[in-house]
Amino acid sequence: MLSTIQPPRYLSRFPLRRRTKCRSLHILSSAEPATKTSLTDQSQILSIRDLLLSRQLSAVELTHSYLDRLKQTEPHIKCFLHVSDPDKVLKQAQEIDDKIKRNEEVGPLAGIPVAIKDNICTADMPSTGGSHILEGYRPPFDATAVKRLKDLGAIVVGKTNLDEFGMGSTTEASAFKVTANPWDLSRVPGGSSGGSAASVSARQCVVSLGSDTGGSVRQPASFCGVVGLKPTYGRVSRFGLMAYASSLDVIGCFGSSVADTGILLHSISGYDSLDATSSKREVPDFTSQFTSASSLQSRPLEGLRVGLIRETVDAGVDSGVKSAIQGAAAHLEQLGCILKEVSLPSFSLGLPAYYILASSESSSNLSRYDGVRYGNQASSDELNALYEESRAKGFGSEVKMRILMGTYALSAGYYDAYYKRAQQVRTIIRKSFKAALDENDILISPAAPSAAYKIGEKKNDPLAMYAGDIMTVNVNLAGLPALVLPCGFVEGGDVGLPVGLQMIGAAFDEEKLLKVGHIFEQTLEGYNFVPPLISNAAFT
Amino acid sequence: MTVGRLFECQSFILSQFSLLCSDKERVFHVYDFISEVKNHRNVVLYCSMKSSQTQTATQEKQQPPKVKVPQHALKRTVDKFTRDYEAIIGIETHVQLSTLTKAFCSCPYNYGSQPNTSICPICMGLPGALPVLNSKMIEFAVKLGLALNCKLSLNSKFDRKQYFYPDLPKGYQISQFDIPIATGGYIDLDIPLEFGGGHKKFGITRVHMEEDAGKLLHSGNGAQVDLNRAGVPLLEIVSEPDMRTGIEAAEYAAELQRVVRYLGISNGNMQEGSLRCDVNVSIRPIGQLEFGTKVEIKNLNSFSSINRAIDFEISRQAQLHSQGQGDHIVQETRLWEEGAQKTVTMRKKEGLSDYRYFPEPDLPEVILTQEYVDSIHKSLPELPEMKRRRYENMGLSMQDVLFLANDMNVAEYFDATLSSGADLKLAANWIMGDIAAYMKNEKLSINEIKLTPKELGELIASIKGGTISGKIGKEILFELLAKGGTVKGLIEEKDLIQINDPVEIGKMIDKVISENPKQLEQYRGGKTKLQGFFAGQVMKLSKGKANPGLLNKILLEKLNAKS
Amino acid sequence: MAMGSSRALLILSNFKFKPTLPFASSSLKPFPPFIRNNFRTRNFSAKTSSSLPPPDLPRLAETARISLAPNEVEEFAPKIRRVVGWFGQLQAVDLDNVEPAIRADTEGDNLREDVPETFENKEALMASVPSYKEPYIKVPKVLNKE
Repeated sequence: MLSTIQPPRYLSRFPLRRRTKCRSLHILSSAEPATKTSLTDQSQILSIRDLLLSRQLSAVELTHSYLDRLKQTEPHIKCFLHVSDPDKVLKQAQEIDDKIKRNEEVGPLAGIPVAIKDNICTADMPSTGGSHILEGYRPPFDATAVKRLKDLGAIVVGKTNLDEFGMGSTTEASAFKVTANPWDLSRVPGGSSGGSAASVSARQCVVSLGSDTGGSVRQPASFCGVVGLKPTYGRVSRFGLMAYASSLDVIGCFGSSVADTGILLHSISGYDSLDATSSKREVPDFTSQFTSASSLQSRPLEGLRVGLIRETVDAGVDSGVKSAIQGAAAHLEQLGCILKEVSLPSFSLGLPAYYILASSESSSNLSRYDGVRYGNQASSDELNALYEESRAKGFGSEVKMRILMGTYALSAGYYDAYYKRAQQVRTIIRKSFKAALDENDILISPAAPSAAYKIGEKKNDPLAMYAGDIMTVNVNLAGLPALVLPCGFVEGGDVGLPVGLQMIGAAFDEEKLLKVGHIFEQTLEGYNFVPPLISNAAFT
Repeated sequence: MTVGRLFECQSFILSQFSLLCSDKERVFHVYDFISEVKNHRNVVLYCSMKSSQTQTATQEKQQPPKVKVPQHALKRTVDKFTRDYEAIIGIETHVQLSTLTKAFCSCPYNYGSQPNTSICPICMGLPGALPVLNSKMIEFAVKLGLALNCKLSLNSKFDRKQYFYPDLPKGYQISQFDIPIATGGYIDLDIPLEFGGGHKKFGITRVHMEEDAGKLLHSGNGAQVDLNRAGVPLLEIVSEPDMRTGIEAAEYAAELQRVVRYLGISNGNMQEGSLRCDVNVSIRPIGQLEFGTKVEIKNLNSFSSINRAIDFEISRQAQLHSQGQGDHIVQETRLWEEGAQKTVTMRKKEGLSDYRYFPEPDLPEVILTQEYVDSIHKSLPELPEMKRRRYENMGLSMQDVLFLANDMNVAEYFDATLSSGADLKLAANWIMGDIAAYMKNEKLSINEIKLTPKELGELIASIKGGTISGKIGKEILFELLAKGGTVKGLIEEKDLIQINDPVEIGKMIDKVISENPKQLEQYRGGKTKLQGFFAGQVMKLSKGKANPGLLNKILLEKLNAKS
Repeated sequence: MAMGSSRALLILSNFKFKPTLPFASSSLKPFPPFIRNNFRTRNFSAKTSSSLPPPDLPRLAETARISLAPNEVEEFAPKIRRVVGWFGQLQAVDLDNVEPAIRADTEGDNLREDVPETFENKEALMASVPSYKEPYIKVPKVLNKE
């Protein structure tokens, strides 16, 4: 039975060049059978660090292998809007090797290839937000999250594709290209962080940063079969993240394992004096919670109260997705959790409330793109014409529509009917989540009502697209952390399509989510969440 | 609340001005805070501004009518039409705060720096940049709120006010909309005697925090943007419509200037645009309850222009009313033209602009604790109104009170002089007379003169106590003002101690009398006017040091002795 | 690890996972049932979205400074009307006495000390300006729009 849902290990269409130094393959092929024994085996980041420090692998070799794979897979998946200059990247890798050679301290992320969503600013590297209006724009500063990664030794391999300014759920709304789902190239990777999710899924990088305003990390993580984490609002500085809806936006993390995702989160978390909404709370060492599978007790999550949100497994959710989530719930029970269904009656109100708030805030946040100080400027001999033309040419349809709707919702006389009511709904949603999380340690739900769908399928129906965000938007309205990790498959594509389980925690309790997620991941067996495209069969 | 509109209008102002004025100097003078037409002018302005804080105040004190204008002609026309009408005047004032950094970023702000040099990703509105509130802005807002007797909102917030303009980098201004930091206060002031005198209390509707916009300078076919000022912290103060005349409005503005200077939260300089007033004027027949149509006047760069613009506007509206053309008064923004001394239509309002305000999500709420407010309250200096009442109670005339309390530095100097023991009236006279004149001539502020309050006290005491003569006192005053030093030191150095010994003076008188037998004969023959001659000779002999009272007394005795 | 494996197998075979059955279509109907509002609603219909005028697209476009081509107006108008109509469902929700959550839950007073810092990379700031003529950012003439 299992074999029917497990992707067969068949030869990749994009076999990677076999490297002479076989030891490096160990870390590149993450599709390990579930017989991991130590923590380093559960984390690419830790295992790379081990190999680098023990000099079994050089950073240059590591970088080469990722760049090679990127080069081979990229024409088919199109994750990146900008790929870093290989010479520069290799030079950074060389510097790390030199340091190791000299026995100098290197950062915990030394040599780790990371990808950054293109709405997150990177100094001296294009940062377009997926919009024509910022084509060619190079910020004069790094986003705080990027700066922290660089300071820890990570190497930025490129900027990933997204729906323009994060507005979309498929990455089709990028001004530049359409990214494909590595599991089935005819399908969307989800969005808006589709490029970041797909690049981790295709092992073009070890981890990546995305942003999540209404599910833009979690839904593509689910579609691409990777781990995605939306932190608590305020946990990670938003400085340098191009604002879409400021009260909902967070920078989030992608990894191919819970451990990597947790390490990435730890690296970018913490108070930033440049973001007044960032929290001064101490950041716990998320990795300290991780234990290797071999040392797990038989019921490692004994007594953990898990609430399955009833409204998320209601009608309208793909039955395969439902089955996968129920399977995951059963798995959690097997691990010792006390499973309960919980009802959040206000759940369905979250969607319209979210779209009112997000469009309203976006209409304001995108006012700065006027063609005067940066970005593309339409030529005109009159100021208002310059504004109207620059913005008309610079923005895509979805962005224009959301700006117009937001402008409408904020207009005098409409504010109370839309924006204010949406904020009141937000209060109700916050309270209902608070109550549910007082009774439960975590809440679970699907990350999306379906698995990845076909490119073009929902392009012209905004409401159908918006409906796909139902599982995730409430979490943003409540500002809570949520972890999505692959938990099964539904039929689709050649080998099935991954389904993500969403775990929602109390504010600032990412630690618990990561701990539970890690155990779940270590004990979920029989699944291979590496897309066939780059499955480790390619190496053997 | 209308900074947005204010800047929208500036484009128009400037384009109008290129038509109206060929005299660029005047364009600059009138519009310097917006335009800075030429760089070298910036420099000139910057230099003269260095000492402007007290200078402006002092100059104004020299002619206590802060609003000294050729009034007569205007007054007559105003009277003719306005007799039957009452004007209702409210003022919106923007005060630029003298913080070291901008409101939401760490850029330093210095008036007159090279264009586009005090900027960063935040005040330039770059993608991904976020505002972080300057704690000083809150402190200054609380200070002003308390000084204006307002109720403080312990829980206020920022909102976004949205409109497009090239001097507004983010496409919205961070401001406070429905919950300002302070509301419902009042300001006390004393109208100078020349304007009828009397104490007034005007209501303050609200004080709120917001950021300034950059500057848009018009040139030929286009415009140029300088973002140095973008993001500089402002407090907007909205008055109740409590004022009735141009003088009252100008005095309100002058008092606000004093208050912000006393508090040390702004240089209050109108020429630089650190204090900008927009006034709303409407009139109604006396006895009518409902308000008339409100007209807004902008471009008021001095107290006198506030006064004149309002009086002009009242007269214009009253004239229309009395001619049965009251409906020609429309809700609009008018500009005060300094050259033509009149207001002209700038922009008619077709319904109110929709700024689509909503709460600024990038900034947390502004939460004040009562302890914080109390600690600020305790730290407040003695404010102009308290100073005036204190001086008044000490027995100074209102004219002296207004002069001395006008400038905090002068008042402090005066207070320090008093605390060194100086006589109240004498101290006031010295400061308002010779010292003020010296400061004006030398273009110095009271903090820049070398004479310390202690030495002024010493000087006054030396004269009063007879150590030196008043004449010598005046002489050494200027030396002390310019070079400093102590009164005692100078007296000793120059051997200036008054001769009070009757024997010594008698000897000198004897000498003079014996040397001028002819004059003595004439005197004794009845030409008593010659007493002055003798006194002058004796004083000369004493090198001016003889005690004049003593000298005259003994001289008279000696002259008359043998007759 | 062998134990873990068998345990997982057990788990997976225990629940009603039916991989052999045909999978449901992954596409969604525009209004899946869970989107419909099942929250307690007001008992009167006076305050519904229909009482508010529908969006005036040309005016919104002017306010938002986006010029719309005729085909865009044609494309956007029905979509925006639908979405705004869908927003309108919140009018029916009883929200009396509910405080609006005007922002995300943020903690503490993250204020800044008034200490100047100069941004060093000014050249890069100016390098991004499309029309720059030292020392100014240039814009075309301003016609008043009100």
